[in-house]
Parts: sequence; structure tokens; C-alpha cells
Amino acid sequence: MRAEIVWMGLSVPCVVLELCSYGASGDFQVLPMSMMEVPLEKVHSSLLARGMKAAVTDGALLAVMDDVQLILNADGRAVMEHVVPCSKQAAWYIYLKIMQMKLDQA
Amino acid sequence: MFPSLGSDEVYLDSAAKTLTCQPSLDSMSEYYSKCDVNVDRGIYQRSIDASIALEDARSAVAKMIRVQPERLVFSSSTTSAINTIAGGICWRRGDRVVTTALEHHSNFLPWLKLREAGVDVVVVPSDPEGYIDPDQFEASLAGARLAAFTHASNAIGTLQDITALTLIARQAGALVLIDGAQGVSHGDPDIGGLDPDAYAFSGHKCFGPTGTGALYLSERMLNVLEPSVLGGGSASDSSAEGFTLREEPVTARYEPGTPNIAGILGFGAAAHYRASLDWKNLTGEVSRLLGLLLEGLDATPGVVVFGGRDLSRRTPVVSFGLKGYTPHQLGTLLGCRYGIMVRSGHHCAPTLWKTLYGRPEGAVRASLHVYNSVGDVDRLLNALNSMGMPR
Repeated sequence: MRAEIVWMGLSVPCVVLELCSYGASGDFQVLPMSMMEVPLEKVHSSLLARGMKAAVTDGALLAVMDDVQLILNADGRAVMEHVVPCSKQAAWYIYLKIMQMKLDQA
Repeated sequence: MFPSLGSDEVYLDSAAKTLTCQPSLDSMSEYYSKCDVNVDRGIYQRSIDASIALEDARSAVAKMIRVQPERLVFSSSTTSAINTIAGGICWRRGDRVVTTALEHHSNFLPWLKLREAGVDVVVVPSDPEGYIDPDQFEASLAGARLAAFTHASNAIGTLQDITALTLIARQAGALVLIDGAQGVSHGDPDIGGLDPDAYAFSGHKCFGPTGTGALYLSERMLNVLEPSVLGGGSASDSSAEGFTLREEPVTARYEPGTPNIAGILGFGAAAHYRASLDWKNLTGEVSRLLGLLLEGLDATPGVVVFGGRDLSRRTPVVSFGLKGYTPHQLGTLLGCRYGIMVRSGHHCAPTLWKTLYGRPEGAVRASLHVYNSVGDVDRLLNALNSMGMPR
């Protein structure tokens, strides 16, 4: 699935791919097609401020949001696990929520 | 010899696809740049040469598993080979098929699908270490028409005793199909000696290209297997009234249409290359690396390893987890941060993960092959040691 996010005022095209399906839930990957620089510490703080579990390790952010396990890299790539329903649209929506939290705070 | 491997990269995903060897690449490129014609029944020299080259490739691939080339059918993959069997036997309501909980989807879904036709499909569980239990297997075979099982688990590397299982199934009167995708990749099986009814494997797991596979068929299987896909080359004659399937070569019945000529030539070249190696020595070295990897994983805090530990009953395919990380998180970090290519998830064997470990999400899988080194193993272990718990 192709989608777009507006990041720092610029439109960044992204691709959403399915990794695994478990029937009702699934694992997905979001790949930005152009350069993004995500300040992971800021996103981390933003998620913690909203009561979510999150940690930064080895240059990536790990988080749990509504039972979805997420890993977000500084280049904007993300993997989301146990997305319900099992759809790329649902995964994309979660990605937008995570990324826009940082924008909200900025 | 494996030009795709970058100098700073660690490739530990050979269970998904082995790297393609230079001779295979050369033969595919040569086919398109110098030959580039169709095979079979062409009357000009180039087509005759291409046909001869394709049959040479068949002989080389057949030699890999020590069978006669007349019994070896090319396919596009192990999956398509197994589906040739599933779709080519005339199933009757009440027939029984026995398979196992260790299977890759390619040797699992085609059988489950047969339940829609009233076939009784029995799934034999494995023992806690990931081996098919011979007694349970035998008990399930009463009245079975076919037993379909893996040579080696693609998920946890456990090498099954295909000799014992084939004998048990044969004594029960069942046809035997073995998924050899991982078995051939890492071993040197004498399928001619064992003579199961069908043995399927892939070119892309034997240093060859994707889109290639092979299927050995016994005399017994040839007597019952109908071609499920028909087209050019299938029939010796046809008219509005019907058609006559080709008798010679009998394998032509199961290879309709224009084959993946370049791919098959690449597969053949990979088989020749493999035959030129000191395979016993090389696989012995890989087994040594496996031992080092297992030792290192056991010594790494927070790591859990799946599957039995007897090196003589394992392929160099290791699935593991690290506390604090999901499989995809771990796989992503190993790739992005440490340049280590592994695979994560259930590896198309969700039943194995659910029944053996209660882990539907699976694990990270690292698979070694002849082009890996102690340095690669060390890099993986160092990465896991430095990751620890997320802060």
C-alpha cells in the first residue's frame, strides 16, 4: 500500500508492507521512500507523557501502543506487530498516530 | 564465488535463499546473451543445443540426490512440486493423508485443503525437541494413502530420520512424500537409495536461482499421478475428441509449457558447482560454526534457543529469541544497526510455533552456510550481547 505523510512541512511517500498475518492481527512494516530524520528521544518523551511504554535502544525506539508492539528507526522506518484488524490501513493509521504525536508536541 | 555478498555484510538467511554462485549466474547470462531460444522439438542447431543443455542440467540436479534423471521433474519451487502431487492424485472421500505439525506451509496447506474433498488429514505432533515421534507417526498411518513430512524443519533446524519414517510409512502401505527443501541445502541425501515416492526441493536453496525446483518421482507415484496442469509438451496427440498424454519422456507430462530455461540451466550449473566442492569437509565446517553459535547463544543472557541440541540431528538453522524484544524488533535491529541479515516471524510454520512453544509470533532465525565464517558468528553474538535489555 502506498501512502504519504507530511513530515516537517514536506510530503514523504511511504510504502506499507505486510510481514506476517495471524488471522485477526498482523505484523506490518512502513518504509519511507525519501529521507526522514525522526528525533527518537522526542518521540520517546511524547509517548511516555501519554502513559505508553517506550524505550530507546541501539538507535531505535521500542514502544507498546494499544497492544501493538512498535519499533521505529531514526530514518522513519517502522515495524508494527499485532495490528488489529490485520490490514495495512490499520497499520498506517497507527504509524500516523505515533509520528504525529511528535508533531503535536513540536 | 558469491558475488552478491558485500564485504561488510553478514548473511544469515540461507534457509530462505542461499546466495547464487557465480557459475549459476554465468550460465543464466550466457543463455540469454548467446542462446536465447526455446527448447524441445526445435530443428535448428541453437534450439537443439539448448535442449541438450537443459537435459544436462537435469542430470546434474538428479545426481545431487542420486536419482535417475528420467525420474526428475523440474518445477518452479518446492511449493509447486508438492502441489503437483496434491493436485495430481485422484483423491476419494475417506482417504487419509498424514502430515506433521513441523511442516512449512508448502507441505501443510495443500493437505489441509484436501479436507474440503472429504480427505481425512491427520497432523502428527512432534516431540518437545522438534522431532517427529516414530511411534505416534506409525499409529496415525492406519489406512493412510499418503504420508507427507519434512526432511528438516525450516524453522528450528531439526533433521528428521527420513529413513525410519519412510520405512514405517511404506510398511503401512502409504505413499511417501518428503519436503527436501532444507535437507538438500545442507546435506547429501541418497534419495535414490531411500526411494520415497516423491522428494521435492528448490534451486534457490542450493546456490541456484529463484523460480526453480525439482521433484523426484518413484515408479509407484508415476503410476498414480495425473498431471494437474496441461499444455504444450504434455500430449503426444490431440483432436477435438481428446488427447493422449506423452509417454516418453514421462517427466514431460509434468512440465507443460515453456520451462524457465535460464533458471534450470542456472540450477544445473549450481549443481555442477556443488559437486565440485569437498562437500563433506565444507558441511563439517558449517557444523562446527553451528556448534560455536549454539554455545555462544546459550552463554548470552536473555537468549532462548529453540530446537534440539544434538548437532548430528540438526541443520545449521537456529531460531532464537532475546528477552525484551519481539522477533521483528530483534530482526530489525540486527539488520539496521549491525548489518546482520536474519529473518523474523513464524517462517511459514505457525503451527510449529503454536503447538511446540505457544509462540505464534515465532522467533528470529539465523541460518549458516558454506560462505559464513567464525567472524559472522562472532558478530551476531557480539550484537546480541551488546543489545541487552531496552532502557
